Amino acid sequence: MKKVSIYKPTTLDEAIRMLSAHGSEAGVYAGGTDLLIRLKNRLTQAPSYLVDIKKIQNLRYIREDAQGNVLIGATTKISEMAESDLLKKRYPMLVEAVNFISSPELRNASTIGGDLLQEVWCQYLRGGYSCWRNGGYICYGAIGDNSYYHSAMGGRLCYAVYPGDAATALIPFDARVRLAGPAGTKELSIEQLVPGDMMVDGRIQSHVVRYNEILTEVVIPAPKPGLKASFEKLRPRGVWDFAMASAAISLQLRNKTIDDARIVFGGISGKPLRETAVEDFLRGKTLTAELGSQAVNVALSNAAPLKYNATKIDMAKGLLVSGLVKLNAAN
Amino acid sequence: MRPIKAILFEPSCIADAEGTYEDVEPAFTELKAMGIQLQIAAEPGETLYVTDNAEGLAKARTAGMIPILLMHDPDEAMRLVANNPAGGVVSLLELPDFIRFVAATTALPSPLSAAP
Repeated sequence: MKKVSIYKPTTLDEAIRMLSAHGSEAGVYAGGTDLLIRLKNRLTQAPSYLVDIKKIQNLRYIREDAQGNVLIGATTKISEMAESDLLKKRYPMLVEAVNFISSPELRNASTIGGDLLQEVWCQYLRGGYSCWRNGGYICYGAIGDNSYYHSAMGGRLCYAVYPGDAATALIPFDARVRLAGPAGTKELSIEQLVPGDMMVDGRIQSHVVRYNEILTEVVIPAPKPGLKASFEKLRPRGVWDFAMASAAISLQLRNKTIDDARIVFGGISGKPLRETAVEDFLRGKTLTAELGSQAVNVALSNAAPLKYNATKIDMAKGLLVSGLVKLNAAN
Repeated sequence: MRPIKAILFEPSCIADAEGTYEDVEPAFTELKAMGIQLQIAAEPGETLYVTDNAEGLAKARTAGMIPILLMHDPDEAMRLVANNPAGGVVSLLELPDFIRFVAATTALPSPLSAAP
């Protein structure tokens, strides 16, 4: 494993100063289920200075604020989200989604902040190939085995898919995140946080968080009455694995009329892919058992599968249909 | 890799018997807007040589240019990776991002300088 130095700050300001001092050589360390593997794999982008934020007070909580938003601290474990009575009551779809993340053991270690900002799980990157994210200038996934973990919706140099499930499931609730940095705090939507392959501080990453910023909190607005949501995920294996395709759906219903919709696909693109064409199609429609098979006709029209992964598009469309059927049956 | 100023294309990367590839015009428009010289070599070490075959990769190295593999055919591209291209793109549309990325990492140690 790559040799590292570990800092253990007790305040956010201290952590941000440490990150600023070491530039891109430093990285935030919380659950470690992604970071430690990147170090073990000796990836070029893995940091040499770890800023362990677990000793910082008030980053691990799930609570409701005065406005009815639910706030989740960045170092909250995925297992704590899965067991939260507040989340089960308010956002059962989110709880369902986080139970799909990895294995029970890893959910006990990994944090919501880490899940949102994790590195892609391309087998070529993790295998140490000199690709765009590992000191090189080529994407091996685009020309090699791209059956499982690569984009079927085009790419931007790197063709790996964004692997996180939590982001896909949070977007239908219009969730936001708060970041702390040297200039203060800022708030972004989840879509703004993980817009796909970005060049940030001289590296390619799925998110926009700079080297000296720390994700501190997820903010989920109170769901409006009539909001129904579903999450489904298909994996290469029956138990823990990343999505070949997933679909998170929320419908704002008035009786059976769809006043608003959010459709987000995971596992098929370099970002959680919000499919606004389907959202537009659904708005104003009556939810029926047949609506899914109509909606699928406008879904993912700009798909650009690689040689071995066209089936991911079929999977995603299938999940859209089954999600709408499920919501219709439950309503 | 030094900042890119020019790109020299092989004809097979631009068009085939049926005509110009669809990505050429938008890519060239954006590259020209970025101030990149097209089809005119500048300093060899600042020039990408875009090719889709082994001979082109060898020619680029002989000329001191940066050999970039255009990966139209994934299986063929995977074989050509053994010829150590300095980089690869799936489409010409990726060239602007390629150059931006190189510019952003110019100050960092580059594996390109170690390429044979």
